[in-house]
Amino acid sequence: MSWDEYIRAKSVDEALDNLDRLHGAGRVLAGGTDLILQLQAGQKKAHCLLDVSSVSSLCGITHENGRISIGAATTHSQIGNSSLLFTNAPLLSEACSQIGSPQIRNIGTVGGNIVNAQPAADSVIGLLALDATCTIVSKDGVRNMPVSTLFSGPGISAVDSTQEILTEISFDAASSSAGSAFYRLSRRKAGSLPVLNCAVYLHYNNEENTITRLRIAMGPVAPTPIRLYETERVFTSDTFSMRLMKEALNKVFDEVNPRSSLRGGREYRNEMAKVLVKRAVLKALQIAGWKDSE
Amino acid sequence: MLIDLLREDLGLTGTKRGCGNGKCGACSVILNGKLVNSCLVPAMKANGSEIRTVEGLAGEGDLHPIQEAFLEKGAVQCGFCTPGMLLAAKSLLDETPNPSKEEIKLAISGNLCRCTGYTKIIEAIEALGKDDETGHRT
Repeated sequence: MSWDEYIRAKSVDEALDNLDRLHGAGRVLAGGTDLILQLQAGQKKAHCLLDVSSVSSLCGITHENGRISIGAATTHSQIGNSSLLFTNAPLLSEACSQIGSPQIRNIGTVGGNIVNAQPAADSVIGLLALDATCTIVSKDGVRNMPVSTLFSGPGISAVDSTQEILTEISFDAASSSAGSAFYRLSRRKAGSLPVLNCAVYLHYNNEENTITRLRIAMGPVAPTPIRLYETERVFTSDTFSMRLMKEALNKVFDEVNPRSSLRGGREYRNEMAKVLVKRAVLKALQIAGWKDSE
Repeated sequence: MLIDLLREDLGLTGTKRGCGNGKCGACSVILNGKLVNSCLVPAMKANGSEIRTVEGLAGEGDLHPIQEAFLEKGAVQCGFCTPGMLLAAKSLLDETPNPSKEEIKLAISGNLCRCTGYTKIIEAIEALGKDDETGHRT
């Protein structure tokens, strides 16, 4: 067995006490769909697993004062099935609904997806476009970090699961003038890691025909999930037109740096990155009230 | 892992080990009402849970309507994916008694079959949805 002790924590405090007691030999477990495999392969180690999946304060989705909070142990299925999120953050519903398979989504969690830190983690791509903040607790206290700061490299999280616990993810609920879209390119319709994924969130001013706020997140086009900040700047620099779109898509090409892997070649991903950004921005614009007049 | 507990300790060998890493769905069981891959669930995580394996479908001597439908439609060839498929079907039908083809495909998207090409499996589940008399037993 890849671990010797297994504790099902009933509270965050109990989990933190155990992490402290174990001096780095403990490790937080939520759904385990990635971690279990890594432990079995020896890529990560743990003497004791601290299962936080049934801590009630870590599960659930709430909407208060225009801010949405999701417990880190909320499963991808719960996120995908949430009518609250479908209304207020549809791109996250869509992102989490495409992870793995029904079996994986029923047990895998959004917190686990973040801490597993893959460059194309679907929930993360969605959360980056939503400008989400993560709450991380340890015996030293609580820190609230933008989700964008939690990735040090492929599979390398800034959250140390042997010392601290990601408890909550929060972001502003979408405004009524917002549009959003999530696109995922993969070789199979299910059970398949993305060749590319892309999330767009924007505000559009109909009278002036301008995109007034824009976030574009994409993976895996870098060692970590990223925002395409320069592309965003192009889109918001002028009134919207297909000429502006073309200029922005050229910027996409400059900002992305995909590898070739068994899922797809670098050249293909470079081309498809532009296609996904175009599709996602147009879809988000249409939702926000833009009408194609060209 | 849960699959070992079920197969080795409890002798419930209906649950099959296919890939052992959560991709093929042959090891699927229903844990607290949710379809999961038992090869990825530490046994301790399942402590205190309600688990339905394929053995829990049939009543005393009778096959469950889902099993009947699979046999009638020719949805079973080697049978290795079948326990997982049956539970994926049950999981779907418990939520959505009359699923569309797309909903069925989504529900079994975590279950691989090397024999049937999925068509008959989808037909079997669809037939269950349309057959008001068959319904489903718990």
